[in-house]
Amino acid sequence: MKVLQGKIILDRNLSELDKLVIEFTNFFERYSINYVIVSGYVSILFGRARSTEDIDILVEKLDFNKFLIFFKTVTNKFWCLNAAEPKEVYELLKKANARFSKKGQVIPNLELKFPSNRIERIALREKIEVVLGKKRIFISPLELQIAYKEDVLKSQKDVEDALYLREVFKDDIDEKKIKRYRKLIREVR
Amino acid sequence: MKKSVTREDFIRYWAEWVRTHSDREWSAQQNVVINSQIKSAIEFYRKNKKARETLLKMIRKMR
Repeated sequence: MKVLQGKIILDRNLSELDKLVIEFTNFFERYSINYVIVSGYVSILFGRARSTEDIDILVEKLDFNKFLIFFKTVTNKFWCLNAAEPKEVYELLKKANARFSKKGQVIPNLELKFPSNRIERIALREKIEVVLGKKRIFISPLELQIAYKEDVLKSQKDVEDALYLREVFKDDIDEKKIKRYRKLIREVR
Repeated sequence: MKKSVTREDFIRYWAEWVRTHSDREWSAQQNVVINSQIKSAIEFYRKNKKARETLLKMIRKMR
């Protein structure tokens, strides 16, 4: 992998999880919707030897009409597990999260939500691009992932994800950035 | 006495392996783990309707 300013080029063999993420995020690309993938999938993308059943995605707050266009297209291939009607799904995005899976399946699923605090808005604004062949996806800054997993989530799995990211990107991780994100997290909580 | 390998040791070891091998090499290894886990989970919920309904109920409750 090649780490550049705001971009990582990854020449990996795509896993079934990667293919699912690319298929789903293509809908965001199609409608120029700003999104960022956060949490466990980020470390898995870069090689962590574990899988996950959900992929967390923050999506810019959309007005209902734009959401409806997106929803109608997405539901040709995916279905929403926790609501059926578009208005209900839209409300879920605002208050909690809407989970989508491939039609006929329940996992893996993609958990979508609108940002609800400053940290989530920062993740969206400072996202980094990962180039996967001819495709691209956007992920949260690695330093924010590390700070959030170490300071907020703190489960064994999350602490190990953070350690993994620190080790794989040991030449690229910016400790000052981690400190800055830590401070922001403390302010928000 | 031989020191036992901890989870942390393994994570560091695997991260170093990833750092020192091509993306194609490490991802081929990793995909064996990921794809088999996904495949068996999908199969499990496809065959086990009760488990599928329970999971869906749980997800819908989590709103």
